[in-house]
Amino acid sequence: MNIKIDNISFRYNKHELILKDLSIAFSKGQIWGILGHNGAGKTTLARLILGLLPPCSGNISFDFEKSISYLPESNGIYEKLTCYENLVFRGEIFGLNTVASKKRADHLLEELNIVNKKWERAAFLSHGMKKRLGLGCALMNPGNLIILDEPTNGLDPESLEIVRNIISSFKGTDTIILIICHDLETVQQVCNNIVILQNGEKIYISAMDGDNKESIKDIYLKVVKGHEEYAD
Amino acid sequence: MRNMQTNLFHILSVSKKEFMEIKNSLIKVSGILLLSLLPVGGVGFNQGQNGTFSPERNMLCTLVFAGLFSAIFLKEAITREKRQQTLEILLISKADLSCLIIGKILPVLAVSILFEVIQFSFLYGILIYIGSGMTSLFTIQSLLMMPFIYYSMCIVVLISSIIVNDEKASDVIGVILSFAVGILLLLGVNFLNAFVSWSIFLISCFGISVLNISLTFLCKLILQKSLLFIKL
Repeated sequence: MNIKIDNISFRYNKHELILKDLSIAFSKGQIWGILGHNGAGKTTLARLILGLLPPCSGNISFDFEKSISYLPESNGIYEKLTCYENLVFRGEIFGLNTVASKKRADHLLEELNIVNKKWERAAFLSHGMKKRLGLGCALMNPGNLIILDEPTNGLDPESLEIVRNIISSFKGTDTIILIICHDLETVQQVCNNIVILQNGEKIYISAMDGDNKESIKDIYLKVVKGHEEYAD
Repeated sequence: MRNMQTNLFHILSVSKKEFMEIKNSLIKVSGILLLSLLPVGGVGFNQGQNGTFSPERNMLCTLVFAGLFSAIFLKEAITREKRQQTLEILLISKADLSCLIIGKILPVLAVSILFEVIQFSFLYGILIYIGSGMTSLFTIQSLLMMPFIYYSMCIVVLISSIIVNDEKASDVIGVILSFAVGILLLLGVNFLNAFVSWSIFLISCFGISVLNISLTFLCKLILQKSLLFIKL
């Protein structure tokens, strides 16, 4: 089960290129951290993989039938609906019937520790709770490709722990997980591969296995700084 | 058959979600209903004398106000989906885009029809109260024709909210376009005597249905490309 990205480039209309000739291969069981400054092209890469945007050149191929779980940066939840309604609706449009959807929603509410907020409208939730609900909505569809855009942005320690545990539980499963993240500590804890983008280009890619003892923060700062100096 | 069942299930799921959003805006809905009765009352009491068209057409035009309810609710629909990043979720979901569009329109259309009946009765009551002979203007055909016109108004608003990125501009453009389409269609079918002759009524309904189906497909096409319009 692989995703192969071959020399893709992308630009919105006649604006400058957001992704330049990018090639990466993702395999099952891996959790990838996609890092980079704001505007580096991380979210655009996610949208291309999701099939929401067509690449200007290059190709993205999947050797499996993809089923996607996606958490967008602003959580992708309906503010006027309750937590439960959000979860059930997400399940229904991703192919679960109403009974299965309700069952899974109840299970995820417990797993994310937001059972007491079940009937509360999403608009009234705290930032951390909204993030948890967004993750719950994403996981309503038990997909084989999970893309999480800033899943830990601005979370309190309790929410952070819950989110990290849930992501880690996918390690070694038949799933490809891509995490777009600025939170290097989370990436250090849960990811086993990282790719760093800058100005639409891949400037670093590596597995974070036992041999690699360097912290992601050090790698990130060294690589990004080194690339900026080289560019100057 | 299975496909049809799935599509129907997705339409119902989206409609249910939209209806819950409307239900959570009850104050807004009641306000719009009361506001829409004001011009109806005004036109009714002066028997359509002060208006752009002939008195009877001025009175007929007031029925378009019920359709404006749909416009006011739908104008924000896609823009809100863009803001919450739920549009991306809908686009990668298993639901067909036509089901999403129809599912979004049906609940507001249902409320518009309820508004229409209230406005119709209100105007009829006023005309009887002041002893006007113009009540013959309000036929069963005119009552039945309006949902077709409301659908056109809805789809025009949806298209404008997909294309126009700026929320305030989308509000203004959507309402103006929708109102214009409603008035044009209403006056067009009135000019053809569709509210008097059943055969012309049926032909007009067919014509507007063809227009509505074409607009739904156009909306689907635009929706597929909608992320290219979103500024990052």
